[in-house]
Amino acid sequence: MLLLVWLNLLPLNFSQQVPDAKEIIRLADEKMRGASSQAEMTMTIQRPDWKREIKMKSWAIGTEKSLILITSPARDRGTAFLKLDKEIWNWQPRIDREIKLPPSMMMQSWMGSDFTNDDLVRESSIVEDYSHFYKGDTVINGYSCHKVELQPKEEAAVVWGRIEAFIEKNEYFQLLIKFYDEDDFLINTQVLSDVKTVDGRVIPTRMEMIPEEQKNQRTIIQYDFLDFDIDIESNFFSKQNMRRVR
Amino acid sequence: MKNLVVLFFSLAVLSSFAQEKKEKKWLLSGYVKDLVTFNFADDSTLIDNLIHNRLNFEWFPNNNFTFHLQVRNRLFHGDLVKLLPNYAQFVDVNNDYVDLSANVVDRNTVVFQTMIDRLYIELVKEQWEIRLGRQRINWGTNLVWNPNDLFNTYSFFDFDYEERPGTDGLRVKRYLGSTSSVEFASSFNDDFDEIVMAGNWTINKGGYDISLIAGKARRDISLGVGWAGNIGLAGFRGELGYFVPYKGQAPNAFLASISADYSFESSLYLHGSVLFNSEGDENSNGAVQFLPDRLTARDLSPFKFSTLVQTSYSFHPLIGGAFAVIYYPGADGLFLNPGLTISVITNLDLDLLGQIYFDQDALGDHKAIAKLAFARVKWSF
Repeated sequence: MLLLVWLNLLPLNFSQQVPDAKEIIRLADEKMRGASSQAEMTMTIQRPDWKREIKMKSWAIGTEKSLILITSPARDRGTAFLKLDKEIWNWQPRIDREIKLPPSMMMQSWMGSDFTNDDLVRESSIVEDYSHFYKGDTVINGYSCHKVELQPKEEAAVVWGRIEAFIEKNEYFQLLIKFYDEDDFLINTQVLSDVKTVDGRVIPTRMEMIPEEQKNQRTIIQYDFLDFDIDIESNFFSKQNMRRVR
Repeated sequence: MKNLVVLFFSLAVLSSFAQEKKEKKWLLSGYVKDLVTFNFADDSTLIDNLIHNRLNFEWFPNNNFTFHLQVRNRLFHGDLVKLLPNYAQFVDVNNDYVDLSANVVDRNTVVFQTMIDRLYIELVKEQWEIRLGRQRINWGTNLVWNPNDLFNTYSFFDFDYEERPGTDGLRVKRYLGSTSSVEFASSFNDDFDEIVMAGNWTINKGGYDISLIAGKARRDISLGVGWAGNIGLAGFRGELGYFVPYKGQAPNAFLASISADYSFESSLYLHGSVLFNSEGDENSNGAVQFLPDRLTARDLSPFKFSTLVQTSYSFHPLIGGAFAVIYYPGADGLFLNPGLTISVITNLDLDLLGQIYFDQDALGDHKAIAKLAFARVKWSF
């Protein structure tokens, strides 16, 4: 009897001593994503002498399906992006045209910001496309957190050479993410803050992307509205709806 | 009286508040542009100004029904307006069955034209989508030359008409899944031989969007195939169109438009495209149609081969540069199209553009026969 209890406890004890890096990332990813989600956000591209704001709405189911609609500025209003598995379409309402985006476009800046297209439509998955290694723990902004290193799998079409992620220990939300290129130079730092309870989840509602080479510039995404595990049909993510969504 | 004014004011405030709480059932957007054109001729420079306003109105009383109205108001003024006696007729060129344009002012120095280029109702019921009226029926998948754009062909040189022309017609579309659809469309005309009537079946297979098109395009029986996909990281698109006249003396025509594009991380974008037209001229007998005249899908280019290389680059998040080169090998004609776009403030853009065409003149000398420069300010709302 005692042995049975001991045997049962054993794997749990081990997992507490060396936390499962992949599980941490999976939980952190799930935290910001839910089974499905809907969001309204404001992206601010900030430079020392100017700034621009882009407002958008987004819907997503897991990592496979997402839809993003630009609602402001006026020039780009109605432009939409649909992602289904590995394919992405861009809808230009003014000329009634959908453009299938080539994979090379994923590395490009999203509308002049410090985020890439891939960051926004999330083509690559931080869970599936990387191998995960536990690198100890630390404290950031008063939150004690896990440090996990992500290395891209060989076959994965990802932009980064490696990623360092700092995940809060109790609620598993992301606090800090560092993106390195293939030559191991730090390229971007993402700082997450403004932790709030949204729809029963404790999550950061503000993300700042700071390029290492221009530390006086940044792009901020502030969530104005967030809802998780929404009532959404899978056929919401279609070319038909990309043209219709408001 | 005073009380009445206060009451009226309160009611107005209240009702506007109530309206704000209710979801808006309509949308008004558009822009105001000012385009200055410098036309450098041999002995003089012609300068023209165009003030251009666009209004897009959308009304959606419920989820199934949408009404679209888009108006284009243009005020032309300048040297070319003065020089061409029928300038108003010259800018009033379209595919339309119903005349929805008017030259409000048509004087020697000033032309004011107003034109409705979209006016349609749309009914959506589950997978069905029905559009009736003046609309853009865009079947092209390629970025510059579209042999499959049977209904409303546009000219690459007419850069100031971003929305591109529409067609008076009926379109019935049924979505078969998230990325596939079957569609039937017909334009309106009293003369059957001017009608474009065709079906389009679009599927997504192996990472490719593929369209199969069949129908009649004016006096031709027309067949088309279009695709959009990628080879490695590069985009790969194409359109093939075959036109067989059922009436008249025109020869069969085969058009193929193939392109590839690639985006570098640095924002550098490269795009190459080739158009083959079996009925095009091999030598310089053809004349490139620069003006927004009535093009059809079978005569996209007067030459057998047309080639394009296009590049763009963001010098700064607010400043984008672009350069397009079109070369017609048969005619040894070369078109250069540099451009710079600057975001001055939110919703205010400044464009500086050039269009230069090198070809043989009447004496057989190779020279720049057209030199145009444009400055454009655009405010979007």
